[in-house]
Amino acid sequence: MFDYPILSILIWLPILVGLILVSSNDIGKSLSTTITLLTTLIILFISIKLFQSYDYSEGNLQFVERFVWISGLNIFYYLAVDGISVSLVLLTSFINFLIAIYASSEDYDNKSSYLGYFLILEGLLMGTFSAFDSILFYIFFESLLIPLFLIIGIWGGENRKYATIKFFLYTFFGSVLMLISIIYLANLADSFAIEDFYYLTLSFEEEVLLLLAFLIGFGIKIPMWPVHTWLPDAHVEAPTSGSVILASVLLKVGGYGMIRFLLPITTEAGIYLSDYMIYLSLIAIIYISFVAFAQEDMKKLIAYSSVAHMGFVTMGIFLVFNLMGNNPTAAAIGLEGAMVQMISHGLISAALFFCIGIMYKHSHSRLIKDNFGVAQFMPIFSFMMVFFLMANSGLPGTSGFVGEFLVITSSLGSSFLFGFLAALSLILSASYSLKLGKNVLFGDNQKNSQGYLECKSNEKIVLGTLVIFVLYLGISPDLLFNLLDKSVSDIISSISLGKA
Amino acid sequence: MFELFYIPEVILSIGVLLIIILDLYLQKHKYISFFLIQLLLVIASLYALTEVPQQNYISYEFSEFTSLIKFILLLGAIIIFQYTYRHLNHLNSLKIEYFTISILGLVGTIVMISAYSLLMLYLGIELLSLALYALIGFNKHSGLSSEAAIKYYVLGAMSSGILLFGISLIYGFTGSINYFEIADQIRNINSNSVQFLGIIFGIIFITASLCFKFGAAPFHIWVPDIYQGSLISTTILLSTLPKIAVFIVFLKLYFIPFMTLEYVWSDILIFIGITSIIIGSIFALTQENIKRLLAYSAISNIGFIILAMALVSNDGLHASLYYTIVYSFTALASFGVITHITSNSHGIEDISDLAGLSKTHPYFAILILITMLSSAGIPPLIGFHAKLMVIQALINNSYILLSIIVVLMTVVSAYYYLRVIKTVYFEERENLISTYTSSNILLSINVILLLALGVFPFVLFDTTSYLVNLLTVISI
Repeated sequence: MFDYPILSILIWLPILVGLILVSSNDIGKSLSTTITLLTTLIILFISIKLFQSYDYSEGNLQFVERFVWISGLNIFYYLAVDGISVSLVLLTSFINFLIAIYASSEDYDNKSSYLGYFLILEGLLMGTFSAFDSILFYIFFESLLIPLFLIIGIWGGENRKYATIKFFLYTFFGSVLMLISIIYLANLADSFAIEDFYYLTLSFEEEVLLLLAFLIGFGIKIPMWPVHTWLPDAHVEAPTSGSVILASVLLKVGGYGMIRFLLPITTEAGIYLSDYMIYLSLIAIIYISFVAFAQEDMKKLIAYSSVAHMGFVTMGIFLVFNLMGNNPTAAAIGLEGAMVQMISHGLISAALFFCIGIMYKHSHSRLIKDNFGVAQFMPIFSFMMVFFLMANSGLPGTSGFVGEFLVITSSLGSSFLFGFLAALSLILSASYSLKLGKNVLFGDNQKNSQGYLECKSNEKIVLGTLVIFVLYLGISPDLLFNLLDKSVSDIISSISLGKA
Repeated sequence: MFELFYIPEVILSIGVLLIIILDLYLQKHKYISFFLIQLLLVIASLYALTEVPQQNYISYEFSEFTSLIKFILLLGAIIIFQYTYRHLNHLNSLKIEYFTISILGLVGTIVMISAYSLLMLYLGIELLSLALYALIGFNKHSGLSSEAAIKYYVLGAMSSGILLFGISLIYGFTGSINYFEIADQIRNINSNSVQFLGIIFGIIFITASLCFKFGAAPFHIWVPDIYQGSLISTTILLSTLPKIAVFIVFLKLYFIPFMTLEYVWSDILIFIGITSIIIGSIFALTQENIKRLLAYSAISNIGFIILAMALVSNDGLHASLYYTIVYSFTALASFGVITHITSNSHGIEDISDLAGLSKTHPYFAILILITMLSSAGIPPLIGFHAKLMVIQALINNSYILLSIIVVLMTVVSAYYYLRVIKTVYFEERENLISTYTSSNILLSINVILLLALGVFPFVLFDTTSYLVNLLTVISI
């Protein structure tokens, strides 16, 4: 189809440009901004091209690049995409482009390094979503920590040292257990290719242990309750763009990993344990929503709301185990719901973190009590923020509704209780989202001495684009469904195919 | 007889004696002597590469394997001397004796790796140790340095005594000091005899002594003190060349004469390996001094090497060789960076001396970042592949529980490597940090290779698998 390696370009172009920016100190703020904007724009174009030339009707892997990388260890440089990867690649390049626009008017010490680390992060994320050799996947997955660690640590808030180390060690701990599982599987399969793991016959005990290892590894990354505690800290200390990329793309790596590894490999154990994992997801959805309601820090509130929303993702994934045997259609709906929820949360949480970042620039405080009456000063901004808060609470017509609706529908296929509890989230998320909106945007502006100014044009572009996409995916989600349908049903069938 | 004249050992020994004499007349021009020393090393390394394999010496090995290892050692020495010369010059404690003594120690390491007999091995170890005693005490204005020298001397002498005791037990019960003859004797031994018991004791004594030289737990107590007391240039030497040499000695001893008793020493070495990893990782957490930190990091790395070797399998052997080379290369880089930096016109001692380095010297900050991440085993750096191979070897040999302990310890050790990065990148400057050069090409290459070999690991992988295939005398 293509005679040039499109996936390799997506991965290595941003990494190379990023390395150049990081190593060239002080090449000037405007030059580094231009370079970053151009690179992210090119990457966005290439990923749109990838999306256009991706063949919906064929669910199997496309754009395959496969070379021997380390022959002695049987490790391949093996890149490919299916519908799930394509959607996440698109999300990554889109969000990074927005970050580049947003950062163009920002002022940081050593801005070229700052932007360089974001470009490296973008390339590594592309690699994570398109690697189909498990070691290659692990390498990208793990390398993600380095740029994010530096972004939060260098440009973060006051308590950044604690937050970065906590974040790094938490995720590193999870992923080394995953590494052991990968090597164990590769030892049995005599290959590191992920799809070769699907056909292994494992004993039940092996599956349970592997499931736990993968669950810890990816569960920390998503994050699931009760291993979510690194996320609020990291979010609060991260600079605005860091929070955006963390919430909108990095958390999705965990969900993606679950779909790739957990679902097809450890099916038997998953069916056995699925109820418990669904309970964990429900705790995340309900309990964390209450925690979010109690927050006084805007960033923490959105961070907890992310945990709650990612609860829908894990729930959709684990429902597959629960429903696969007797109701495969509902299982497919659950998985598709999880995917839509990931993309939609990627857009909405990014938008909300941008909004908080814009307010923070004026009030220099993230606390709800220090920000009030913003709507008087920033009407356009406030309109858009209200829209995103509505989307966050799952208003029909926005993308936030579609994913949650699908997951709830699918959970009703499993049991009424699951559906009922999951649906509670619509009320809970509305309550904390509206609380934030009411207090911050519409509070009493008489006492307000902050000098809020309407946001700059580049910020309007960022938020406006996000409004359009959130609406578009909410009104006509077909675009996403076309992309996902075949891949999702392929995964469902490969689960039932591998195991009798 | 003349072919023996052109081997690196002889060239180095004679050359170094000539340089000592010449140096008397060149007191004002130390750089000439230093140039001659580097030239000598280059010539020796070229001879090491072109060495012709010989079969006819029963207690000394001349093979492609040893000549390649010699080449690696000499190359390491050249790099270390490059770092050291400018460091010592900067601190006004440059003496050419420092290099001549180091070269004698280097000859010792070469003898160790070539030995086919226990006595030859002992000679090599003693030659190395004598050189190290002098080098550790080289900083004569520092009390810590003298303390370290005496400590290493006393403990080193004791460990040499234990080694000799083990050698005499082996000799007494097998009647030979030659590796192959001992192997023959042990193969035909009855496991209920007194002879058997004596040999086991001999092996245990030799193991204890070699583990002391290696710096593996529980024989590691000297390592942090000696690393801290010596000049950082000595620490680089201590943490690279002797480790490679002792590793090769381990390989040759355990896999040739003691091979048939694998069921005895394998478990001991696994225990030593895992203990070293645990102690090295946990004790490093509270260290403030960067040399002590790197000392504990060395202990845990040694643990990985021993653990992989103790699996007695081809992949374990390969993993341990790969790990040794990667570890030495990383140690060269991490100590190399630190030799370039001074704080308040002293060498770097505490981690906090590095605070705020990224603001004043971003170039060196990036170098520290890469070396520390590589040591922590974060992909895509070369340290990850080394740890990956060890873990893979463990899992392939069904040591699942051990592999879990090992990776958990990797997480623990990541904390203290991150602490260094945190100090360099996230903290404000406290001291006057200066460097005597804005950049160093050799150092840059050294560090960038950590990244480049991590992205293209097959380069090093193929080299080490070639090396492992050369070990035809070993059959697992």
